[in-house]
Amino acid sequence: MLELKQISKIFSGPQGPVRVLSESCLSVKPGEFVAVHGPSGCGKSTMLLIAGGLLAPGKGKVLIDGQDPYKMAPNQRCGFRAGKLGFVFQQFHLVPYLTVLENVLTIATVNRIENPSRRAKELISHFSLDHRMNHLPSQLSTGERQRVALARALFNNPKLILADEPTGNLDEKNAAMVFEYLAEFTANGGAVLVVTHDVKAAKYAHRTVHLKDGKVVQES
Amino acid sequence: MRIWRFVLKEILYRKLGFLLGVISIAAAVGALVGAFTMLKAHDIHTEGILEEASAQIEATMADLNEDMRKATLRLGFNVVILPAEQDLGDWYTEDYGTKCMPEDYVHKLAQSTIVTVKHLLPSLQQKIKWPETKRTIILVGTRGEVPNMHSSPVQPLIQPVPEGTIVLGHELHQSLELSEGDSVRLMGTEFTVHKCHEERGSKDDITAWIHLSQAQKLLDKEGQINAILALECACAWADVDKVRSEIMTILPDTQVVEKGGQALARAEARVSAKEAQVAALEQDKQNRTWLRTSRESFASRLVVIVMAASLIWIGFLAFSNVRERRSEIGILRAIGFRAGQILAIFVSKAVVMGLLGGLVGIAAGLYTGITIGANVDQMQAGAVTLSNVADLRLAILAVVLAPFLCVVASWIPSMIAAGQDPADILQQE
Repeated sequence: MLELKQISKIFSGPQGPVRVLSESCLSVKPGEFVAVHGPSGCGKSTMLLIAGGLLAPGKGKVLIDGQDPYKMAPNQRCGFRAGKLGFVFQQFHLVPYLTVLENVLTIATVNRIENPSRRAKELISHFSLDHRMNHLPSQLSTGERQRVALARALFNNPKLILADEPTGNLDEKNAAMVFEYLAEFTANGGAVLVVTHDVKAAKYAHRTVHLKDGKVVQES
Repeated sequence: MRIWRFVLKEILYRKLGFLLGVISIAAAVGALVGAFTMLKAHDIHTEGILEEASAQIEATMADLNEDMRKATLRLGFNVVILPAEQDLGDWYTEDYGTKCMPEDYVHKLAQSTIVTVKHLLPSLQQKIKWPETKRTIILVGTRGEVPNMHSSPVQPLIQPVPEGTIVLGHELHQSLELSEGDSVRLMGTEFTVHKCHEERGSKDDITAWIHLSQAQKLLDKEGQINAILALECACAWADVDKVRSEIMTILPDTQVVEKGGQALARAEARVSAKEAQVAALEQDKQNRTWLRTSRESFASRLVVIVMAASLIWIGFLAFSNVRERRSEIGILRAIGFRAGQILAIFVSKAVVMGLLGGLVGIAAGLYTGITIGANVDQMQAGAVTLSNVADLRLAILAVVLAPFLCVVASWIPSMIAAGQDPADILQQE
């Protein structure tokens, strides 16, 4: 589903170029839950953005479902992301003026889906948020917000979910719930790549990858 | 979900920022509409002033004509009809005729279809010695006006002297110490003083007027007159030859003499008065034009300043909005929104803001323009109303212009929003 081949990325900083990723390789198969661990600044988030078609690598190749998003035109890449990928972030990134239902429906603006309202309501119900359907994100708890973000990520039936520290702002119970939902997604054939500090992710992941100084140093 | 839903929901969520933008664009449109409305109110007021001034000139001229008509009894565009054999040299020397003609001539004229002569005044004048006072005077016998039978009745210029009475010139009643109601004898006939004239500085001051029939009897010229005064012949600008020709056709053995200088003086007085009034009206027009130009200049500067300030403010608000929505832009771009769709969200908001601001601005501009316009010109309540200042073309222009300006002011921030790199945002957030 996802293949990162010999990925390198260098950022230019005030004190000269900073090599964030160095010829890193990673693959995630359909139905696989892969967790990426590593210290802060090791390039975890950069790897996730590259994997999500949001940040072009300096070197190397990215294949998602067999296609290289960086060889596509920008608008085509947008459509590709809308069709194949789901994103979950630590900060949730919910649209503050849209209700829970509308936030889940957001992607329907760019991706044609049959009966979008029904699909959104099913997801909301699946994440036990029926009573919050017409609430704004500011009226939700952090756990609820992350569940809304998960529902939004699943709305377009993606093949791959990319999650950046999805449990970073959550308590233990909610963090476990998020991992359970992601595991459930993989059980249904989806692929998940999670970048996290949370060691409990290992409990749900099929594979854990350790990243250090921009290089994959260990896989378990 | 459609783009408009993002726009409307965001507007409702961030009401204050949107409201400030609407107020700003409303101020710009209001300044524009208000300025035009105020100038229109000014034009309406000017029109009223000039109409009033024109009406006043007409009224003044009518009053002036009436005053002149009364004040210039002896002036006017007048002619004197004399017997054909009258030596004009003698007539000019003595100021009265020595030859007579039948009194019936005046009736012929009155019964004719002559239309150019308004007033006919037969008289018998003669310089005489007033035996009782041993004074030389001019005795005038008059019977008042003979009405023209074929023209509309007009107010008589000269009232007849009643029989048995005498009207005395200033010098006469002063020197003889006579006043109205006194009795005086003239050539053996007793008269009651009917009226004593004020000083005129002319031969009138040594003239005595009595009824024509009594004058004819005293001067032994019964049924005779020596002049017919034809007063106010047509108008002051009439052709005297036409008057002369008409009279000579009816009374072939007469001659007609024009008192031209006096007629001209009256006409000139009228023309001069009218010119003065017209000049005053022109001055009024110039003053109003100058005032309008000043107001127009002030308004145009104000509109430009308010518009510039408004555009800067809207641009600032749009920048703030983009900064505030960085996270939203990042996630929307990540999940597949194209740059054009992000641009559409921001531009649509500017259009809505402009439309609403434009409508509010039109209403505020009309109200302000009407109120200020009426107050500045101290116009009567109701003189300027919505119906007479509202301009549909201006309203349409404002409704189109406001969103356009709003989009222009928001364009750079909107482009920045659309051009933001989601990776940058998501990394920083």
